[in-house]
Order: sequence, then C-alpha cells, then structure tokens
Amino acid sequence: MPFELTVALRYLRSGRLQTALIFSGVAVGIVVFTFMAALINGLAVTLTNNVIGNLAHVRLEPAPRVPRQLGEIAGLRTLLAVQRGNEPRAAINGWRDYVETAEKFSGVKSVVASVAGSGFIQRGEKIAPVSVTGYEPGKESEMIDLAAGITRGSSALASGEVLIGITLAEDFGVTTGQRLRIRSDRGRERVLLIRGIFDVGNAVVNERAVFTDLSTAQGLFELGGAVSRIEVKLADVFSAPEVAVRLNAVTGLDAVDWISENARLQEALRAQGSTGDVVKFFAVLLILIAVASQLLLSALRRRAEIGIMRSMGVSRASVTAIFVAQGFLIGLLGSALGAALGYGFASAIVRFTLRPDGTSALPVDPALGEYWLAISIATVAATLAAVLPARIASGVDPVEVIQQ
Amino acid sequence: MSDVVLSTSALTKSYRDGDVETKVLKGIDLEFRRGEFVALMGPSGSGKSTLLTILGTLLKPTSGEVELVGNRLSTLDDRDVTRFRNQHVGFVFQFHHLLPDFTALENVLFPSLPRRSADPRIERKRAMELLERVGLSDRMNYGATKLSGGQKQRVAVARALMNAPDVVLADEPTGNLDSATGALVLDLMRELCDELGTFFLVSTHDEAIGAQSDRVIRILDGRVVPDATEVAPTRSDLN
Repeated sequence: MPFELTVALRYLRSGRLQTALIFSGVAVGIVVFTFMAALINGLAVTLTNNVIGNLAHVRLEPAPRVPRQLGEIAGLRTLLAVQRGNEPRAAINGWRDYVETAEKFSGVKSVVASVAGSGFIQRGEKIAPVSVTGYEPGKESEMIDLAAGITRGSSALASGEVLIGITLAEDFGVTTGQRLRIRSDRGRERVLLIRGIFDVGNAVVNERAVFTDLSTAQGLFELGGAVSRIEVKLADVFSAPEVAVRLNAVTGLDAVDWISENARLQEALRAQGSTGDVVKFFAVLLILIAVASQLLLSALRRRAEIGIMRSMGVSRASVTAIFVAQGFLIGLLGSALGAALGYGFASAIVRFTLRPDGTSALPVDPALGEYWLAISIATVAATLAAVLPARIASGVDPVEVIQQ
Repeated sequence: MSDVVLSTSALTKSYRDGDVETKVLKGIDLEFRRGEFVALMGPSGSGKSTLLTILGTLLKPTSGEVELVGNRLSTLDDRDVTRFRNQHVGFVFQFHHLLPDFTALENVLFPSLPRRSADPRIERKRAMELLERVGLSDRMNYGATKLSGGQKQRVAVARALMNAPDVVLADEPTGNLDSATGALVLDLMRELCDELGTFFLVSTHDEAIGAQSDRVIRILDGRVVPDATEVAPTRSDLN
C-alpha cells in the first residue's frame, strides 16, 4: 500500500469523532440524493405507466391520401386549395403481413390489429357517446390490461360480445349477461352481450370506452376484412420514436409513437426530473463543502506534523496525495454507507405506505435510486473537495513550523 | 574520498521586509568532517537556527554555496532537494515533533517511507535495531503520545538516523528536557556519532554540550567568531 494511503487511513482513524461526523454528513447527502432519485424516477415510471398502460407505444395507421395537382403551367403561378377526399375511413388491407413484419422487429413485445371508431350506446331512452375498439380474438388484453381490470365477467370476447367500463355500467345500470345497443358513426347498429365489466383505473376509459371483437367492429364500421390500425407494444417504451421511424420505413404506414403524442407528459417528466436534479446537485454541493471544510481544518491542525514530514523528505506531491486520499476515502466509504442507508430508507417508506392492494401510496421505487451514480459523483466530488486543503497542506513551510 | 561531508562558502542570508533588509548570515565559511560532533553556539538571534535550516536544505541561502556529500545544493531543484534531504540529512528538534498518531516504531520508520523500499521488512528491522540502540525496545508499539519527554527525544534521535544519513542536525535537542534526561540524550547522540561515523551538528546554548563536542563554532551577529572556533580533542586523541 502506498505510504500516502497508510497515512491518510491513520489520520481518518485517529480523528474518530470528526471522521464519524464527516462520514455521516456524506452519508446523509447520499440518502437525500438516492431517495430523490428513487422518488422522481418512481414517479416518472408510475406516471408513464398510467398514461401508456392504456396506450399503444407505436400506432400504425394508413397514410392519408392527399390529392395531387396534375402538372403545372410554366410561367404561371398556380393558386388553388387542395381539398382532401371524403373517403369514409382509411383502412389497412392485408394487415396480417404488416403484423408479421412488425412482430419481427427487435424490442417489440406484441402487435395487435384493431378497428377503432366512435359511436353511441343506447339502452331505453339513455344514449351515451363511446369509443369502440375491436381487437383480434385472444389479444384483447395486449394493449390495455383488461384481463387484470375485470371486476365482473370475463375479458375473453366472442363475436357479438362487448366489454364495458365500470362507470358506464353504473350509468346505464347494466351488468354482465345483459345487452346494449351500439350504433357506429357509420349508422350501423348491433345489439351486443355484455361479457365483462372492467376497471382499469382511468376515468375516461372506464366511462367512455367499449371493447369488442375484431369482426364485430369491422361490421360496425363497414371495413370488411380491413383494420383501421395496428398497435405495437415495446419492451423499452422510450425507444418508441426510433422504432416508429423504422416501422414507417419498412411498412410505408404512418407510425405514431406515444412520446410525440404526449408532449406535455414529457415536459412534466422533464420538469420533475430537473427539480430532482437541483435537489441532488445541492446534496452533492453540501458533501463537497463539508469535505473541503473538514480537510481544511485537518490541514491547519496538522501544520506542524506536515512541516516535520516535509523536513524528513516527504515531497509536496506526497503531502497532496495524503489529503486527496482522505477525500477519496471519505467520498467512497461515506457514499457507500449513504447508498445502503438510502436503499433501506426508500424500502422502509414503501413498506410503511403500503395500501391494501399491495401498491405503495408514495411512488418511490428503491430499485431506481441511482446508487452507483451517487457513489461515483460523491467520490469524485469529495476527491475534488480535498484538492484545496491538499494544496494548502503541501505549501506548509517546514522552516516556519520548526522555528515555532 | 574526502572526509568533508558538509561545507559552506561565503554563505549569506537576508530577509527583506519592505525597504528594510535584515542580514542574518554575513558570509559563513565552514567545513565539517565525517564522524565529527560539533557544537554550534551563540546568543539568541545570532543566526544559529537560520544556518542550521540552510545546512539542512530547508532554506535557500541568499548567496554563497552549500556542498553536501559532494553535491552543490544550488544546482538541485525542489524535488531533488527533498529527495536529497531524505537520504542524507536527519533532524532532531528541541520539541521532539514526533507524529502523534503513530507508534514509536512507526515514527522511526517514517523517513524510510518516501523511499518506497522494495523490502519493507529490512527497513522495519533497522528501525527496531535503532530503537533497541536508544534503549526503547520495550516501547516500540507505544503511541508517541504515551512516551515521556526523554523517551520521545530518544525516538527522535533514532528517527533522525533511520536512513543512515551523512549529517544529523540537532536544534537545541536537550533544551526541553531536565538536565539528567538531557545529559542522557546528549550521551546517546555522542555515542552514536562515534559508532556510526555520522556528522552531528548540535545548536545549543548549553556550554556542557560544547565541552563534550569535538569542536565548538560560535556565531555572533551572523558571523563565525574566528577566535572562538575551538578544536576540542577528539576521543581518539584522548586515547
């Protein structure tokens, strides 16, 4: 072991109380850092899951057909308004090929073809607008976890059956086994059997969404064998923009990712992340100041010893190394202790705020505490904080010390 | 090989405070030989300590030259001077200046650490032998703060000799000890000087130390007093 490290360790060991205090200071700073990370990251995951739990990460839709002008006359400025056609509904024909293609993409978890449109449900004199989505059989729960949210009945749909939200069911006073009339925006009507009632924790979905099987929806919206969109879920939700670009390039369909459709959520997450970063910055700044002041005091208190060391032929570089090593050790060991305490603290918070359904009232995720980052930053910061005291220590004039 | 281990020529040292220049040393020419035990005497403020720190490579002279074991110090940069001091010079101070967080053995070992010896066991063995030689083999693992004043100063003497230096410079080494303990420490230094052939220069006010020295150099007002440079009979002469 280099003798500078031996001396640094001895200095830390001999000043037990001071060492304990500075280690505690660094540890508390890291507890704040890691808890903020666990909270902010946990909140981001919760918010993101709440939003995209009911969304496809990438949606493939037919590209809108824009009328083209046929030719131009040289020298003439053309003034015209382009009016898009009033085709009933853009549809994807041959969708099974697209589904197969998308399923082969790396990072794609599931691909489902669907038909989506709007309509009304009617029972007696009561009418309510709803969004209607029809999924391929057996894939009803791939985009929205309807199976997990079923409070009554089942999520497995057969032709002529429908799943409705719990709020809608209460509004209409219906339950499973009863029937509802649905009229699509194309004017087609069907009477559907309520197969299940769900609660997905989203008020809009619970009140205004109904799900049926693909063939029923195709009939309601006059699509024949086509679908209106293909929905894709990804393993890494934040890779959606990049996957969307690739899917568009391969399929030629419009690919819309959830991030570009939820810019406000992104802004909120960024703002939240920035707030966390500010708190983390101040936690690290406090560590830096605490370590610098502790080592500065040590350098002043040990002036005589440093002077004697210099008179014995210990170089300025070695004196510098002794103090920098102390900063490094304080940063590394203090932050490791802080990371362990931070994990324990975050886990305890989760445990103490558990709700009956097994989720925590606070969106803290102990696994997202950025512990290695915290240890690395604190170690670097404490090492840098030691540079000024080290420079002061290495500048001690042995003659002054001896003559005193 | 010349027996001269340390010499100075036309050595001066001045301090400037604004427009006022204070000359502390005014042309010192000295020569010291291996195995000599020399007392440096003079009243307070005569320049003894300044001369000692210059000879110990801790302070640069304003002019003149110091030659230590054949090396002119003015030709060395700060890093080389530090390394040179570690290898060739040992210090004993009035206040032992042991490192309080280390044991007696570790204090003696300390000067060897910057050399980063390939075999620390050899260094440790030498430190133990030195402690044994100064009569502290039973106090090796005592913390420095647990030792008495005389024991601390004996550890300081052992520490000064750890790197087998050519020169040991002692600044009032007995000044902080009672007369009996001071006499013991002085005897010890004298014996080690004879045994090891190391040159000892002892700055002191104590005439008794002068009497035990091979030579006394008296300094007054920054100059060596020529008439007062006494060549005391060496032990070999007495034998």
